[in-house]
Amino acid sequence: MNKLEKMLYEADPSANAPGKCAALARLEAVDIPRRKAGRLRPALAAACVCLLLAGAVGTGAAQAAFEYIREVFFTKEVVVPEEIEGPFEFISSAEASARQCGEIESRQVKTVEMSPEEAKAKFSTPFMLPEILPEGMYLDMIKVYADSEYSHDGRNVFVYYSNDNNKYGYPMMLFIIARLDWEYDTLNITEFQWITDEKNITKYITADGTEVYSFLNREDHQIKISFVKDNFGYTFSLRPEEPLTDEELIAMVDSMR
Amino acid sequence: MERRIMPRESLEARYEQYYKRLYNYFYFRAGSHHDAEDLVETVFEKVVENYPAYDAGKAPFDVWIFTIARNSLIDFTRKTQTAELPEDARADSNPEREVLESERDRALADAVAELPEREQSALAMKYFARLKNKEIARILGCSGVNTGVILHRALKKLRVILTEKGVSPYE
Repeated sequence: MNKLEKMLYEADPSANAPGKCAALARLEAVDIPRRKAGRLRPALAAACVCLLLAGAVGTGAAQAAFEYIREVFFTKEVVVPEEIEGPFEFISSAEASARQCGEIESRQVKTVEMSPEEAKAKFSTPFMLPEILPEGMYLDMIKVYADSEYSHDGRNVFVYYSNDNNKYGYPMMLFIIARLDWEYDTLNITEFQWITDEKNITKYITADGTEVYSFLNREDHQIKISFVKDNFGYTFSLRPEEPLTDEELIAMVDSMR
Repeated sequence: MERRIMPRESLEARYEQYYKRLYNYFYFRAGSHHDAEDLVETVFEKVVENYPAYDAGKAPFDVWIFTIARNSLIDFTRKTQTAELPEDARADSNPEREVLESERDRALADAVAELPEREQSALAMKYFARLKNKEIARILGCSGVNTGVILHRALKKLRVILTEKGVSPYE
């Protein structure tokens, strides 16, 4: 939360309100059924005016992403909807990294065998995925990584976004390293930074020593959210309708802090 | 169908629950303690009157009560003929209260009042009424994404206005 938002949240003129109790007493003294007959206030008309005024404003992918992330991390125990139940790809994160990076010589590729039943049992546990995707955002991919190496303690969350049409003229990636507190469903952003990599391969080591390999997707503008739960890493990608501007992206990150 | 009457104890509980959020919402929109109090009272009168028609299946209570609040504010604004209240209406006439009132709250209220109505509305619902974007979207009749856009723009403008007023909104 930035300073302005903190100011807004902390503002409390009601602390100086003079007549809370008196107002309640007056309200309780009101003979509601009798008054109702003689009081036809123009609430309906006002509501109609509201609806007429409520025209659509331009959509922004940053807000879509922000909404989505809010939903993901602040919605409690949303179950995966039936219609996106699969197929899912079950691979180790090492293999995922290797695939993404076009083989990384120093890492062993390991495929984890898992029956569909086992996978489904794992995947059907409460999972923080919204039932309805926000307007302007498409679900591109869900991957479940068995034997995940994304995190040592299973509580880190990585949100990253690649943007290859930025003002600098070369690909950039934003990593957001966060700690997700499953108990309270809160997301605490611990660090974030822009990463540039001309080779398309990024190896990023987080503060707790976790190695994350990633790949800059030059074709798509995607937001990928990866996290680990019950020793399984989950990654899903979202594709906004339009690329995020740097400003929108930073605003999104600011909003999450 | 049996007519539902809001029990007194339920009214009291709702009043306790929503007073602060409604008050702050109205204060930052209407600009004075007096008007905020009147508007809160109006909302609760309407809540009690319309409670028999309230359908929890159609809208959460938060959305319902703040829809009433917004409509009450529109009604109030129409009666006062201007959403932009004069400076003296914003100030409290009670000197003692003036001392108590946070200068920052007042600066914020003045800054919020300079935003377009729709942005004021979204901002007040988000930060003063503590509604979620989805709830604000339902009240404003737009999508959650649009609400995010409105809020983003509002915050951006608010930063500029506050800076001009000598209140730093930055870290």
